Amino acid sequence: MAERSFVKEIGKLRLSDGDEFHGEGILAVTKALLQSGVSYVGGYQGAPVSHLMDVLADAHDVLEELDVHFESSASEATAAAMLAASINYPLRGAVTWKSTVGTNVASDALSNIASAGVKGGALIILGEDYGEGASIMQERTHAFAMKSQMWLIDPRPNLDTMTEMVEHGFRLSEASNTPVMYQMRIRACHMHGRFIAKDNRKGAFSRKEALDKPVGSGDAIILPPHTFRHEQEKINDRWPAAIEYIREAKLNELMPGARSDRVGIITLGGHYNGVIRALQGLGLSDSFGNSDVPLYVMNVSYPLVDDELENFCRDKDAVLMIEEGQPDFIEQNLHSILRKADINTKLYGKDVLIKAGEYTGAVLRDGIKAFVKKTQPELLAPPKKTVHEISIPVETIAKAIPERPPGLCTGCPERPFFTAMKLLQREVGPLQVSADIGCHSFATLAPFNLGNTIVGYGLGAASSSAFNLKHERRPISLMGDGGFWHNGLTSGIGNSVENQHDGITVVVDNGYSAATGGQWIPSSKAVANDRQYKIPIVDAVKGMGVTWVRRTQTYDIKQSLQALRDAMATDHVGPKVIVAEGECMLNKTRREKPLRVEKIKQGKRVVEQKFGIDDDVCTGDHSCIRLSGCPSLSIADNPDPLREDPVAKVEESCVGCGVCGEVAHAAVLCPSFFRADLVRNPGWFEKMRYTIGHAIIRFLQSGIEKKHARWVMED
Amino acid sequence: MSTTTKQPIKLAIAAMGGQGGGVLSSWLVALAESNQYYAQYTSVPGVAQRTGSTIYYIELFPEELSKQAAKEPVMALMPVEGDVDIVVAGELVEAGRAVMRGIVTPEQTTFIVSTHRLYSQVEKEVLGDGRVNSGLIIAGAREHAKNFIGFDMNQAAVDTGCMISAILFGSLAGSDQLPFERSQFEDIIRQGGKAIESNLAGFKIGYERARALLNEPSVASKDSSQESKFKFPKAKQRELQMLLAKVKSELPDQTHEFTVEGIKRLLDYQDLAYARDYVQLLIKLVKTDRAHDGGQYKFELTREVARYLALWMSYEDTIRVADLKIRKKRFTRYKDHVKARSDDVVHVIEFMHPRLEEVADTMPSWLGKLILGVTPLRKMVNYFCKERKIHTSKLSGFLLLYTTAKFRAIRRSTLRFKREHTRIDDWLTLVSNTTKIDYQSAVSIAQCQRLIKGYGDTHDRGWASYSSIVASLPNILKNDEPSKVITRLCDAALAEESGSQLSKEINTAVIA
Repeated sequence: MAERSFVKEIGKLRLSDGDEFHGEGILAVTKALLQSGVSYVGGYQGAPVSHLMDVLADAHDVLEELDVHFESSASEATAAAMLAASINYPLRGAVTWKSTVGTNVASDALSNIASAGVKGGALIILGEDYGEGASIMQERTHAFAMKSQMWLIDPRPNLDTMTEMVEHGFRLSEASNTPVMYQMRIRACHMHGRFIAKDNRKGAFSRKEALDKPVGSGDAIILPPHTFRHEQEKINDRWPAAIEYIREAKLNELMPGARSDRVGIITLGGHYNGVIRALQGLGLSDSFGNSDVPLYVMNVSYPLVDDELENFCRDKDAVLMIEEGQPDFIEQNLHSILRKADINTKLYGKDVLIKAGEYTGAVLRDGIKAFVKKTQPELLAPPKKTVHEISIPVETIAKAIPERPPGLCTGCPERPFFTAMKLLQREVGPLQVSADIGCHSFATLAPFNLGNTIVGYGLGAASSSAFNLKHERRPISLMGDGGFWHNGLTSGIGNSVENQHDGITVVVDNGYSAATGGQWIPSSKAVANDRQYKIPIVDAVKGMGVTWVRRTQTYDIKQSLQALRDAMATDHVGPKVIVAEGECMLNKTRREKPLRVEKIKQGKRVVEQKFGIDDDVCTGDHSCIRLSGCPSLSIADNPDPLREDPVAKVEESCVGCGVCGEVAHAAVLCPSFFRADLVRNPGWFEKMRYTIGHAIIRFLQSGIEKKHARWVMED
Repeated sequence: MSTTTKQPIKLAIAAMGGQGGGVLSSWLVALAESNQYYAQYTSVPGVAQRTGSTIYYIELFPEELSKQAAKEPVMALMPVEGDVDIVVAGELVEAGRAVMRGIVTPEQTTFIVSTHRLYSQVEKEVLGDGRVNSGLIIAGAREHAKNFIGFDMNQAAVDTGCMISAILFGSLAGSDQLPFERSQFEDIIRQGGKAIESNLAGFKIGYERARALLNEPSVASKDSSQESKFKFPKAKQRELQMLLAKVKSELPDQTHEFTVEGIKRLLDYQDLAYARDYVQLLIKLVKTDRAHDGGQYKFELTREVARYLALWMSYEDTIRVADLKIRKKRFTRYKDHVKARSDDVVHVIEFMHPRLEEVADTMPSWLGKLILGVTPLRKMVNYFCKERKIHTSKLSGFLLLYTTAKFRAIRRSTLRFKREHTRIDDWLTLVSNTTKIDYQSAVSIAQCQRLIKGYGDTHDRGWASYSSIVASLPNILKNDEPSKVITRLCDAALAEESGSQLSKEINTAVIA
């Protein structure tokens, strides 16, 4: 599925009963799927759940033994639709994606499946990309659970609970005929821990049996009158069944408090470890989670089990609801539950914690402290005061710290295209650029600052729709190859043909779904297993009816710049598409580096290229850096005693992609760049020619040296 | 060191994505798990790892205690402000960011820091010098930590030929904050199976440096604060020695260092006569300097002009670039850059893009003017002005540059020489005249030469910025502290390349 290998991880999927699994959370969940007798798995890659898909994509043998079908879905909507197999058949299936962005895409299918209901357990593994390091807008998946009446599991982040909850998820789904969402926060996905494994299990019912004896009844079709019946069923049958299962299986956990029964804390499972650490910090818990105040831990965050909550709150003065993000659905729901049960326990929540934003360790500690102080202050130990004299306060240091957002990698093929766009801007003036989601989103940052909006994956072109007018500077839309195949081909390219949009769309074709970990997509040049990819984007665009199409190789800045100029200047009315091709350097290196090492070993001629800068020629203006932004193009102290500004410098990490030379040429910069080609295993003729040439060069150089030697000074 | 603490050991690694934090974390997990400890490790991959700053977090807990309690420890997934035992920073600004996040505290935290810098885009792209104050961050980091172990681990890694992770791992062992023996650390590197020898060597260096720094925290870093001690040199060549003697007798001591550097530079650039011209111009200026109480300012005016006049007189023309590209030390430079052995075949390729203007500039001024002025000629020459890749390590390329460098003989007659020297004369006159109004302003104007650098468009832009400052000088001099205004304008010109900030500043300066 990609240039990386996952052999080690696949070994972990084979562990049997009693073996101890050591590894990442998301891999543990993958293992739990196999332990639960899943029959099919699909999904769309994206941090933090890419790993689940990457590993399964490579685990053919394991999947074959268990008769599990795996596919890398074209989009989250495709993945969600896959769950349709569980509507009429007792097949367990699981799909995965990044939430809430993926859930937005999948919503159409999810709503319909939730309405029809399922016979086989249907589990949706969601990587909740919220808080530090998140790459998407900050929303909650909880809303989707509520609106479609699906259940939402939010397990305590330790591998035992996480894997158990996968199995419970399937059972809960079957017990209540409802798809179940299983939410993992980003750090839980990537958490290294351990649990005791179980044997993998084949599904009791097979996909073949389904095709042998298809079951079809009007009941599951989303047409009236069934939809009205589904609505009644969801509320009157499936909901109570779910609550019954959650209560019976004790999915939510009640933990007694050693020192108080007057106050209590209700937390979502996902926050449990953070809450315990906060309590520890306040002296209210030990390292094993033995807390001084009682806790009700909701491993299922939707639906709520009213009577469990009533019992927990009754006879307490106050409880604190810990629920990250907005809206505070559970807090509101809890108010309603208490009111209806006529329970007067005071409910705290976002009033003592923060209203919006991530519940970090400090936020939880401060919030819980504020809650205890208001409700049972005698629980808190007197604060220890140690005063340290600090002459450089944190604020002073903070002022000196520059931001360091993520950016395009060293040697990235997209960088030179954005350089070309920047050069175009110098010629024609500022441009309206509708950006998209992918590595190319980083073009919106320094030094390119290209991109006025980003509104969704594959929606770059669509988001330029309103700018369909005659203008000397045509609007430019960006789209990655990932977004292109996800939906951009229809939502963007198709739409612009349909509406004769006069703008320019650039499809950045790096050969992979690069930002999510380098997975293959239909236009990938690679040959994977027995599947052929290589569907040219240009053909797809032409097939959609675009007649003005150009291909450029991104590392050729002049070619890209010319294509952009042509697209700006042409009389052609209607969409103009530029496909900017250049293979993702990270993946290219993964593939080519071992081959190169092997070739050198075999004594074959290999040229290793690296760029460099003559620091006596560089004057320290950094134009090159403003046009490149490559991490390996940096600065260093000026060796010239008369000059102050630092000179440019090429770091060790340079991969010799050639962009520095291209930029120097295309932008008529400075002559301080050079490329050094180290020839491994040169032929005898090459070596001889080199030796003779250098003998003459050295002779001429010593003449120069001699002249300069006259002017030597000594201290 | 107490191993029976009931709290887990909390360790955060602040680094940039792809910098080796992942390797270090996996070593730590393996170290803990092979020595009967629970290890819980988390990170935030995804976008944060693409060269952005990121944090890896690890908690360790002894299995023994867990068995006694018959319960597994509950461990946090992210560092809590004010409650981290060890923070490892793989780069200085990331260390500063860790302090900023509040995870480094004088009560609890052992802070292991590589003091080298990896510059951020905002620091790099400035037209002048946008680097942050490293000294401040080091001092701050030291003050906010309980124990501070800081040195340039990147250099140590380069010297040893190992990954920086190995130095960090060694420093962690040497810091004595983890309940494991040195040999247990080293076993993990061996089990890793990759680059064992170099990583063990790096580990050793990290271990020993950390120990030494822990025992003698005060001698921690004697980084780069050495004062340059200038000694007036002697030359073997008689005429040069006479010139030096003249400098010594006629110019004040404070200006000697830059003047001698200037002489060296111009000898390298042109010839002794040119260096004499330079000294002559300084001698003329120092009279003005003396006449306006220069001694009181430590002759800052002459000193600064000595620096910038040398730079201006050695403007970068085609001849100069060719000359620098063919030197012996330059050949050593590119070979070292790719770590070539002496018998390796290494080719070097230059990226030149001479414009019509540069070609005309290198011609005798009458010919240069002709080329620029007569359209058919202009078109003909322009035809040859293409971007070129020159293979300097091949004889043909070398000879091309060698010949170009020989144009040095006619440099004084070139179009460019005439133009630059007219500008230099104007600049010196302006500096001299301004001295009569305000000494400090004259110094600031001298320093504006800094703007004129680079090649092609870059040079044109710098000249335009300089010219616009000079043009508004009469108005600037009406301000209370005109020299500060000039410096501010100079900074504005270096802040970004469109020039909008400079024109904004000029507008306010003129109104003020």
